[in-house]
Amino acid sequence: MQAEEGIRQRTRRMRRISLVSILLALVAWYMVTTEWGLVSSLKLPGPGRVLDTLIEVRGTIVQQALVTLYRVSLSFLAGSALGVLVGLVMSRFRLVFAHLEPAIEALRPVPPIALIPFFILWFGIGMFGQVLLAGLGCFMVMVVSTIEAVRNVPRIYVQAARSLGAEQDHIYRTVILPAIVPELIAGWRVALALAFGLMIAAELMGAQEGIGFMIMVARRSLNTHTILLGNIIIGNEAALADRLLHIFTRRLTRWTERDAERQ
Amino acid sequence: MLRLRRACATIARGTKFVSAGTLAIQDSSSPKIELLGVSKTFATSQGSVKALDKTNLKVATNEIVCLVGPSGCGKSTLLNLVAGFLSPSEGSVLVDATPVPGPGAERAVVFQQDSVFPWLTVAQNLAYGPKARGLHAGEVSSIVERLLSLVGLAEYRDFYPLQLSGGMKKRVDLARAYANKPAIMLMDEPFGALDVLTKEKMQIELLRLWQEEALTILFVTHDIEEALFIGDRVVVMTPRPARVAADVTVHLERELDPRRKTSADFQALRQQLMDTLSQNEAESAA
Repeated sequence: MQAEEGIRQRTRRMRRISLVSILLALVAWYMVTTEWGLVSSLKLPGPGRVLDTLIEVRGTIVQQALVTLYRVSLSFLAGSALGVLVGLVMSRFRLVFAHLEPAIEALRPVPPIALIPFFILWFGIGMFGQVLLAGLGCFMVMVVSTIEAVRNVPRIYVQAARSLGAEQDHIYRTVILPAIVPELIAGWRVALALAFGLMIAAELMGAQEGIGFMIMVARRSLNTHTILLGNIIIGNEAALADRLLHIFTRRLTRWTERDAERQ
Repeated sequence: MLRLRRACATIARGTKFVSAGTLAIQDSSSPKIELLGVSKTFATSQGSVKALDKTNLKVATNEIVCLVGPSGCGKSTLLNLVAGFLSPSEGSVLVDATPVPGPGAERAVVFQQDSVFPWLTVAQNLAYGPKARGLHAGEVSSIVERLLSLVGLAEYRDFYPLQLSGGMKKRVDLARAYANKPAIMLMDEPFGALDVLTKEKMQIELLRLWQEEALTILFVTHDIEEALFIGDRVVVMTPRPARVAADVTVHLERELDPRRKTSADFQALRQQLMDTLSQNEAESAA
């Protein structure tokens, strides 16, 4: 009990420290741009200017932010679910692995951003192409993470399951799948951040809505305070999504040491 | 060959000392487990390694046979062959006179390492085998209830293994292996990582289970005392490549009292097996 109380106290102190560092960064931003005027407001708008912009365009910006969030969620969920599935199937069947591995290895180093011109050509500037692009990024990350995670499952669990009478497919569902979850978390976090990055890139290159589109339009008129506002919104959305992912995965890994120690 | 004969001679003298004129059980007609001239060679990056060399072994139904030998001698290889995790390079491994096709629920395995599934609760771990074999939910839960009370873990049914002590985890492991009502239990130094008292308790729990149910047990250990306490027979293996160096039938009182480990008979037999083991080792080193 005492140890638990100690951990809670420490967590609270760490949160306070984080809060102070955020406040300090905000103050520094204010001093540099507004109070001391060291940088022109065109090159780096101050917090007041950005806040004004937020109030000015609050109606549309919420909508743009939601559009981007929706697309990112869609690509992350579909791309990483498919990635885990394909990774599992590749690990399970050697023949599938032999077929898919060269293609995936050849495609993996190619930054999906480099494919944007093609995606626009093939799918236009609608939502489909953008979701497909960000989904592709998540897919690649998760296929590789899953294959590696399956390789790391201790053999003893598989042997135990086999000697308990489980067939190979049953073992994949009941042993491999739960055993890889803690290792997949790192992959999911990388994939989620990548989905935000790719989505903004896709929206910058050709879209009709979204935060990336908004930044693109603001760029044409050197409207830097809107650009900065867009960046801040993306940063917050990504942090929020990461937080949600953390809450969700913690439910899945209740049985591991990492969570037992922190709760 | 000479080495083998000498070892057998030593043992023969010893068994006479303990009790004379009892028939060795391995002479009975149909063995539960039988190894006929089994060799196993592993290919490693440093060339091939022979772990097992033309080994013969018979285990009768409801017999407990303990395998002892120097570490890394191939005892576990032998066990894994019977479990079906490995297949022999030469010879045949028979269970009920049929070659082992692969791992199966009728041959339960308990490992030294912790193999309890950490993502399942105690009750879910116990249910794993029966569920995997496709039993109905009703049957599964009645098996789980029985096992929980058998190993005294009813209060911990919803705990994750992380929250249990090493001894409790081993009990879950044992109960889970037993959930399928296997005819054979293959145990690979199962209690090796436990402290002395817990180990003793587990040995007694195992013997109690064996007395109540029809079970044939092949038990690998490097602890001679454990082997003598549990086993009907103790089979001593040579250093790698392993062969059977000596096969001793234990004619001691089968009491569940750990104090009998300190009796004179017990200790005499233990000393004798120790001598066989060290003699083997010295000869193979020479």
